Amino acid sequence: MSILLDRDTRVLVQGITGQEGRFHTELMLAYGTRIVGGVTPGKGGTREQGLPIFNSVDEAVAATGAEASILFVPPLYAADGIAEAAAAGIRLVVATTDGMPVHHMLRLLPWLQRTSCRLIGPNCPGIISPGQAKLGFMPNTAFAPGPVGMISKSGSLSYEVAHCLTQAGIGQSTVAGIGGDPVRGTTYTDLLPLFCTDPDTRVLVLLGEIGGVEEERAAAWLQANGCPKPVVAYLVGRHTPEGRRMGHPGAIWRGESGAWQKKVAALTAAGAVVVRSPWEVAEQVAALTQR
Amino acid sequence: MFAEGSAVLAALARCGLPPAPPEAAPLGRLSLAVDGRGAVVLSIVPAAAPEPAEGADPGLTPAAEDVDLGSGPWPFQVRRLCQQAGLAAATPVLAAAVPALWAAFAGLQCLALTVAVAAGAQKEPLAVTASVELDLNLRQSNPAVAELLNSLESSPTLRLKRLGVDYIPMSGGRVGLISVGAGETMAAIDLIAQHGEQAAAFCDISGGVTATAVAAALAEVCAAGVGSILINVFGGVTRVDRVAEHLLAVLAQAPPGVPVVVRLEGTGAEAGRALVQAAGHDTPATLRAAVAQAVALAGGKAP
Repeated sequence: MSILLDRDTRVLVQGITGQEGRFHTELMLAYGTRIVGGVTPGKGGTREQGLPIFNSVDEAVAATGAEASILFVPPLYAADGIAEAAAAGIRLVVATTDGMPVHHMLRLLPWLQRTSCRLIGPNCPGIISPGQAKLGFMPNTAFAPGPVGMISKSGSLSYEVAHCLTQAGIGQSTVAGIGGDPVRGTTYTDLLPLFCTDPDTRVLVLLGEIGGVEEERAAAWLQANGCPKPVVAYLVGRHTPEGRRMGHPGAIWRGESGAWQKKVAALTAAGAVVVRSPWEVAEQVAALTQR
Repeated sequence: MFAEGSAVLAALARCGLPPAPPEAAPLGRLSLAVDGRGAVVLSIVPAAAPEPAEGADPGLTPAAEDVDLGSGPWPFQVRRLCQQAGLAAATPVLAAAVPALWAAFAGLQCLALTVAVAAGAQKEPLAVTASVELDLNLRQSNPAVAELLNSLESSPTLRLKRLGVDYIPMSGGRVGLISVGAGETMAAIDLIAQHGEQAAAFCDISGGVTATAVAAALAEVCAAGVGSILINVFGGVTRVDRVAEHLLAVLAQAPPGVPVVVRLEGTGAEAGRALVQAAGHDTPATLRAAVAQAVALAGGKAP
């Protein structure tokens, strides 16, 4: 089991004929992802890596029964591609796109909320259910199938922590990179309920960082709803300078606003075990899974 | 990227809010910003209130109202905020400034825009000071953003951003850190601190893995007077072997004069490590070992 994505999920690639789309389609296919077609306006009727190409997501969904999509389109066109997928009835869209303007997301989100589509991203590595499928560009070697569900704002940090877990012999059920932009499609609180009820997820790992209020909201959700599984949290940015954006547009703190200490306090109060390094995540999870 | 001064005032003037004479006393400060929830909020505070810090979450401001992107701020919201801020008497002037503020916010597609407003002779609103936080993703597609960026004094942060490198100097650090990915870079900064040293900068090259970008990043880090350099790359979309190639070319051309520790993992890591080892550099197997080594070489107290 896993959440959102498994080996049977029928996937479209929007922007499949571009350099990045082509490259990552090959890698995702090799990993086992069930890609059923691609979309590039104007190239309908052609084929790419044996897959049919369609002019629109509507056509692709009608012909293939696709339920998920991943975009490899330039940042300024990503919102349009996401909206098109949602309008066509796609239930899961992954936007790895880095550099999507924040105001595009501000326009898109209310529109998405009127559909049944879940957006992962933008500016994220995607989602992987190890051993089954991946929608994104995570390095395969960092991940292995197992009982840990992970949510991360940062792609690179999720690789690091998954690598530590895998090296310790602990695999993952699903790892979702939700992205580091200030406005994103999916947050911790959207995924926590899914992991809490996933029978194959035994431990949750929450990777966070300075900025915004989402870690605090995750803590509030855990306190209000409880989680039958232990939660291990690792938050970065404690030693970053105040008032500066640390790469991710949302990663900034000032005073108490967005501060590491406040997030750690909230998660600790909610019962999460907060650790201070990637390898301590693995040590803590090992201890919890051996109980 | 934060900008203020005459270029921002000029942008506001184009939207219908002209600059005030230097002696004008502001009545209140109006701000539109994207907050930590991903909402746009309007806040109004008295001019004498403490300056909102860059990075402060406007959603946490007591007197703030969510703004609908389609409609923009409604006049009743402005009246309510003025009332809450004790600025009821100034409501007509401040309310008259809001459409221009909204037009500039939407036109610049910025993360935050703040303006201190004074009243002119005819009770018309005038801008005394203004600041904006720009979305650098728009630097090539939005001419108004490009114009504002061009008006800024060049800084290492801006210069490197043009090469795709996120660079934030941090004072006093002895470990020159160059990393890939914002989260991984912050993790390395924290781990270096846990080992008793400080990183010299936040330097994330994930948006600019070219020889030019790597050279510029390395030069900037070296200029900070570091005792060692830690290159930490866990590549996903970034090909680690490509980073290694660029890095070795740069190191051969401009040796930094301090020890370099290179930790490579992820996509293409095996090939990357082989290249780096062949060039005589250390490649610790884990981030833990790499941080400890870099701190020790910088003269710190690695455990």
